[in-house]
Amino acid sequence: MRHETAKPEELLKISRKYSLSKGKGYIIEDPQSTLSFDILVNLLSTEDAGERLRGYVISRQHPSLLREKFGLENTPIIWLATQPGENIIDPTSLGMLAHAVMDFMSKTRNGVVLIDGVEYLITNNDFRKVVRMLEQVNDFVMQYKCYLLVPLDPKAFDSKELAIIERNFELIRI
Amino acid sequence: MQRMLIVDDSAAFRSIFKELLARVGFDNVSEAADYDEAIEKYRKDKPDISFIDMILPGKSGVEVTRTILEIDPNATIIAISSIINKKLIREALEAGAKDFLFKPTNEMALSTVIQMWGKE
Repeated sequence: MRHETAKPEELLKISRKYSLSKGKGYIIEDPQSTLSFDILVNLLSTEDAGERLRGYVISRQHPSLLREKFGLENTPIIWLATQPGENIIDPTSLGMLAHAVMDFMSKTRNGVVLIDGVEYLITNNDFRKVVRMLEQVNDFVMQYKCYLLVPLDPKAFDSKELAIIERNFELIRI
Repeated sequence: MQRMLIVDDSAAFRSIFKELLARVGFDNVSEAADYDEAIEKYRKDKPDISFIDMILPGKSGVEVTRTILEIDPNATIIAISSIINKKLIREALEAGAKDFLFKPTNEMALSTVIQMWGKE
């Protein structure tokens, strides 16, 4: 996972449309993840208090599809899949996933991390383990003043599970 | 009340976008599906903000943008697209669009753009 070489995306002369706080994790109730990717691209394409942000994406969606649709040229995209290969993490390897994200945050500092595919992680792991991983990553977000975006489909969870996932995050609803 | 123009060849998207505009407080909205209709509606309605899809059948959103700005150099145009193609966004901004919205957009992004570029 080549974080040191991750370059920022090209700046576009567009407005910063989302008012998010550094050092916070956001659960985004966003079944298709489109709002979350729009937020990511908007953060990466605009200056953040004079600084450039660098992105890092974990997704069940194939990287080439995401690059094509969202114009992510330089942002590392890790594919959640069971086959071996570069920039692929098995959905059952929660420790490796957490490590990859935390490694990126500690090396990059001005980072925006999007973890897409929480439902897929939960179908492959115990629910509580996935929540613990998200909370562990969220602690790093606070420490390294990054942004964390976690889209999920609220219909995929019962109300108790949703409350557990959302308790330590800011919530964005479409 | 500010007037808005939506230019998109998808009637379904225009309908969704119109509802979204109504939710953020704007219900004086006209619609166009292509270049010719867009220019006609612009001349007739003189909208405060025009939301123009960059990918249209026939002449593109960039061409709509250029023509509207020839008619009215003070026009406020926001480019919209369902793909974030940076070349396209750059072209739209170079043609004179003020900003870019990704489709389908949402209340938060739309409100910010209108606050930024709409009339006081």
